[in-house]
Amino acid sequence: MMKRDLRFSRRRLLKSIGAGAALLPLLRADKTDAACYVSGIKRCYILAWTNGMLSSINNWATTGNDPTSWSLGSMNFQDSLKPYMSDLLLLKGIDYKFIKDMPGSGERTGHACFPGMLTGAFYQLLSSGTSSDLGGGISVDQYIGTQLQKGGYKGLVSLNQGSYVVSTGHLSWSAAGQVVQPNPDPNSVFNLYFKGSLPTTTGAGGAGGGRGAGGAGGAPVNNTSAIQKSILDYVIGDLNRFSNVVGTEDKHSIDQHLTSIRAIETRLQSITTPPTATDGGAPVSTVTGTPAACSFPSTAGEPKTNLSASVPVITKLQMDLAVAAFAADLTRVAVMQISDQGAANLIMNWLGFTSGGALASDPNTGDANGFHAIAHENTMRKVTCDTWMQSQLAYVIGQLKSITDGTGKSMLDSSVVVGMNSMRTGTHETTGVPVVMAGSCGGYFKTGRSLGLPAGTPNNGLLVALCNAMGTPVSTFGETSYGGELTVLKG
Amino acid sequence: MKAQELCRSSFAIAALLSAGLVAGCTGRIGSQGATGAGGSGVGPGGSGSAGAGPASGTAGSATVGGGGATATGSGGTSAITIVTSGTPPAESAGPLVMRRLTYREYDHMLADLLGDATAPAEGGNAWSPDAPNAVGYVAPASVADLQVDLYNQTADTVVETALQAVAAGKTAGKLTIPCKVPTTSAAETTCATQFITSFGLEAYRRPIAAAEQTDLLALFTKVRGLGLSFNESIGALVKGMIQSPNFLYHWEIGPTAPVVGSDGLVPLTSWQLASRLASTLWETTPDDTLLQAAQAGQLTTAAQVATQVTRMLADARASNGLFNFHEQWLFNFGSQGRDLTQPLTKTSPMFTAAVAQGVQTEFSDFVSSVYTGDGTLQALFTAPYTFVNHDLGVIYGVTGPATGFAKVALDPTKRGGIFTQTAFLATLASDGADNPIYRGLSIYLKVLCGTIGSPPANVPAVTFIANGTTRQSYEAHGMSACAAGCHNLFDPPGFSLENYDGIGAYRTTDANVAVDATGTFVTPANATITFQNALDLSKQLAGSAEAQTCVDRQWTRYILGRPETTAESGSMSIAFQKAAATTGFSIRDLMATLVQSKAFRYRQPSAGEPL
Repeated sequence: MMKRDLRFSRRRLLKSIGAGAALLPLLRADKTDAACYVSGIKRCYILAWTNGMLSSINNWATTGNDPTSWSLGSMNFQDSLKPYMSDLLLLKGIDYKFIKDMPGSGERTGHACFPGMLTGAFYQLLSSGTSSDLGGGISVDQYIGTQLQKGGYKGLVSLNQGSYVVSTGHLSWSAAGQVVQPNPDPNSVFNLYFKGSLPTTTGAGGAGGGRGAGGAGGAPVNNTSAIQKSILDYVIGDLNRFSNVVGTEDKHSIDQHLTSIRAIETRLQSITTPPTATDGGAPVSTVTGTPAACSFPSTAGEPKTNLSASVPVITKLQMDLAVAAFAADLTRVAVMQISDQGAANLIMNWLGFTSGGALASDPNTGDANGFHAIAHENTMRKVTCDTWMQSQLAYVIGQLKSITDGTGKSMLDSSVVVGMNSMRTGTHETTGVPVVMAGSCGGYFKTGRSLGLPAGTPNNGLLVALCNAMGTPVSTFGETSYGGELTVLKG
Repeated sequence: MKAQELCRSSFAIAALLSAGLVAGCTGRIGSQGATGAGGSGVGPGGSGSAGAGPASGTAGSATVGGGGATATGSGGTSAITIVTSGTPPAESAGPLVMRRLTYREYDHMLADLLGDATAPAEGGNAWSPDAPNAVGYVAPASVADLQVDLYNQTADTVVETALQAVAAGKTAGKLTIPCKVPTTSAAETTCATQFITSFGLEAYRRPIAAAEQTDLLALFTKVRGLGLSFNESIGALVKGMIQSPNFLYHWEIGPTAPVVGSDGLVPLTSWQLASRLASTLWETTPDDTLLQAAQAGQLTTAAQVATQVTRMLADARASNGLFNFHEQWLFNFGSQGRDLTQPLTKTSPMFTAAVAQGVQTEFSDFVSSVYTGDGTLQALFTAPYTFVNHDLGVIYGVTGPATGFAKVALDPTKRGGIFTQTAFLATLASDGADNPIYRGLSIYLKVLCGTIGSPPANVPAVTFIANGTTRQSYEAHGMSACAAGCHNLFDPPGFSLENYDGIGAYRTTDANVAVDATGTFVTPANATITFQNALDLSKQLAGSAEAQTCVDRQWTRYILGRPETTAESGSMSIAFQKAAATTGFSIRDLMATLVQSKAFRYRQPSAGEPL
C-alpha cells in the first residue's frame, strides 16, 4: 500500500514541533518539499450544516445540462461557486423520507435529520431531545471507508471534523447506535493524524520533546512508534482480560474499544514500513504550484473551539487539514460539520451579527441573532449567512481543484464533494433539499449540470451513488424500501 | 468549575417549540420513558447487529415513564412504586451499568493522579460532548473511535508534563517514583515493580492483578530497551495504565471472582464501592482513606458506607458530584438554555463577565451548602440566601464582596431557594428575556417527574404582544386550542417566576403592568396546586410527596446511571422514609441511604457474564 512517509520532511517536522511551531504563520507553504500528493485516488468530502441550504427569498440555481444553460441562485449567494460551474452538479432536491416515515418521529423535521442524513435509515429516538437520537445504521462515510480498508487501504476510515459542535446531534455512525464523533479541534486533528504519522529519524529523541535518547545512542530507527506500539500492546492485553469478565453487552463495548485501539496500531504500523514508489497502481506524483498539498496547516494560535467567533478560523483549518490528509492519502473520506443540529447560539460576528436579546417572533431558540433565529426569518440576514456557508463549500472545492498532478488532473477531478443541509430553508422543510456536488469522482458523475429532481427523491439514492462512485458498490443504502441509486447523477 | 457546564444542553425543546419544526403529538418532549429497543441495523454491509438501546438495556426499564405518546400529555409518572409510609418492599438490586468515565471524572482523575491542570476533555478545547441517557444523565457506556484517539493523545501529553514536573522536583499528583534513579538493572526492576504496585492501585482503583503486573513489567523492560530513560519508562507505564479499560471504565475487576448469593445478587466488592462512592460524590478517584477502607474490607456493611459518606460530604470535593447531579437534574431535559458563560452586557448590562463567570460557583456553593447544612429539600427550594461575587450581588440588590464570593442573606419576601436564583432563572431563559416555558418545563418534567407528549405540528410560535407583558404573550400562545392541552400543564409553574426577569433580577412590574405570578396547575399525579408566586409554589413543592418521590427517583437515576427498575423499589422506599423522618425532607439522608442500600451495594449478574 501507499506509504505516507514522503509527506513531510524532517525539517518541517522539527519546525512544527520545536520552537518553530508557535512562529509559523497559519498555512505556511513550503513548496520545496513537494513529493507528497498521491494522485489517481477517489476521495469523498462531505460538508453538512443546518438551517437551510437557502432562504425562501433567494432562489436556487436554474436547471440545465451544461454550464452555459443554467445560472446560479439569485442575490449572488452562490457567487463563490461561480468559478467551478463546470465542476458542479447541483440537485434540487432530495427528500429526507426517513424523518417522515420512521416510527415515533411524529412531525419531526429539519433539525432532527442529522442522524439519518448520511445513513438513510430510520433511527432510534432516545430521551427527550434531538441530542440523544441514535443513528439506525452505518453512515455513508463509514461504509465507504470501511470497505476501502477491507480492500487493503491502510488509512483512516474517515476523517470526521466539526467546527463549533457544541451539541450532540450526530451525522456519522459506524453501526446502528454507535456514534462517530466529529473532532471539533484542528489542533487535535493535527496531533492525532499528522504529527503522530510523521517519520522521525532521531530515535527516541524526536517528537516527545524532552525525551532523552537513553542508551540507544540516537539510532536511526523509529522508536517513537515502537514505544507507542508497546504501550498499546499492553492496553490491548488489558482490554482482552477485561472483555473476558464482563457481560455480553459490555463485552460489545469493550470490543469496540479494542477495534479503536487496533486502528491506532495500524496507523503506527503504516508509518514504520519503508516507503515504496507505488501503491496498487497509484503513483506518487509531484505537485505543481499547490498551496496546500505539501504543507500542513499549523494550528498555532488557534482560537478556542467552543466560541462562535472561532468558527471561520476553525473551519478553514479543518478544511485545510482534510485537504492535506487527502493529498497525503491519510484518508479518502472526510465529513465536516459546521455547528450542530440547531446552531441556535452560533453568532456570526464576522458577518456583523452581535448577540442580542430574544427575538420577539420566536423567543425559544437561542440568541435572537443566532444562526437559528436568523434562519427563521429567511430574510436578507439569512442570505448573508447562506452566502458565507456557500463560500466555505467553495473554499474546499477550490482547494481540491488547486492541487494537480503531473498530468494537470486536479484532485477535484478524482474526488466528489457533497454540500448537504438538514433542511431546505430556515423553516425546516425536509423535502426538495438542495445539494451541491462538485467533482466527477474520476468520471463517475457528469458535472456541469444543475438538475431538477422529481418530488419525493429520497436521499438514499444519493448515498448509493456515492458508494458506487467510490468503488464500494451497493444496491441500496439505509432503508431498502427507498430504492436504489440516483442514476441521473451519472448523466 | 469549568466553563460550559451549565450550557451543555441540547437542541431540542427549543427546536420543538418553534413554529414549523414543532413535532407531532407522538414526539418526544420530555418523555421520561426509556425506549429499550435495539436499533434496526439497516444499511448495507450487513452491519445490523448493533443494538442501540440505552445503556446496558436494563431489565425493566421500559416500564419507567412511558408517557409522551399523547397530544394532551396526560402527565404520567414513573411506574416504579415508592412506598412513602408503611412497610417498604423488600430490597433488591438491578443490573450494574459498566460505565465509561464521564469527561468530568476523567479530567478530575488526571488532575488527582498526575497533577494535570488542563482539563483535556472539558477544558478550553472541549471534546465533543457525550449525550445524556434516556433519563437525562450523562452516563456513557461505550466509546467512539475519536475518544480512544483522544485518550491516546492525552496520555502522551499529560504524562510528559507530569514527568517534567517530577524532573524539576515538583509534585505531579500521585506520580511518585519510589526510588532514586537506580544504577543497576535489578534495582530498576525492583523500583518499577514497586511503582506498578503503588500507582496501579491508584489508577485502577483496586490492587494490580498478577497478570497485569507481569505485562506492565514487560512493558517497562521493552521501552527501556528501546531507548527511554528510567523515568520515561515509568512514564510509559502510566501512559498504558491511563488508556486501560481498568482506568477508563467503572467495573473495578477482582481481586476475587464475583460470587452470586442465594438471593441471586452479586455483592459489589469493597473496591467497587470505594470507586463508586468517589465517582458519585466527588467525580474522581478514591482517596487514600477510601482505598485503605477497601483494602481492610471496611466497606462491606451499610454502616461502614455511611461513615465514608459522612466524611466525604464534608470534603470540598463533594461539590463536584453535588453540582453535577443538580445541574443535570434541573437542566437536562433537552432545553436549549443559554450559555451562561457568555456575558449579556448588551441587552442586560447587569449580566457582566463577572456574573457569567460566577453563576456556576453560586449554583455549586448553594447546593453544597444545603447538603452540609440541614440537608433538606425545603432548604434547597426555599432558603433565602445565596453566594455572590460583587456583580452577582448587583442582580440580587445586595452588597457583594469586593473580591471573591460570600454568602449573603436575601430578602425572604423576594427570594427563596434554587428556583429564584440566577442559575435557574438565567439558564432557562432566552438570552435576557425570561422564558416561562423553560422554567415551567423544568419544574413539571424534572422536579415533578412528569412526562408530556410533544406538541402537535401546528402550534404557532409565541408572538410577543406589543407593549404586553411576558405572561400576556405566553398566555395567548398557551391558550390557543392546539397548545392548551400541554401548555396548561407546564406554563403555570413557569408563570410563578414572573417576578424574575431573564437574568434573574427581581421585578414587580413587567411592561409597566403589575406582575401576575399567581396560578393553578394539575400535577403529573393529578393533584391541583394553586399558588400566589414562586415563593409559595417552592414551599408547596418542598412539602409535596410528588416532588419528594421525584427527587428520590432522580438521585437513583444519577447514582445508578440508568432508569430505575422495580428492583430498586425497596431501596427507594426506604430512602424516602428515612428522608421523610426529618422535617423538611432530608435529601442528604435520602442520598446517603441510597448509597448504603442494597440497590447500590449489590447487583444482578450481567447477561452473559462468566460466573
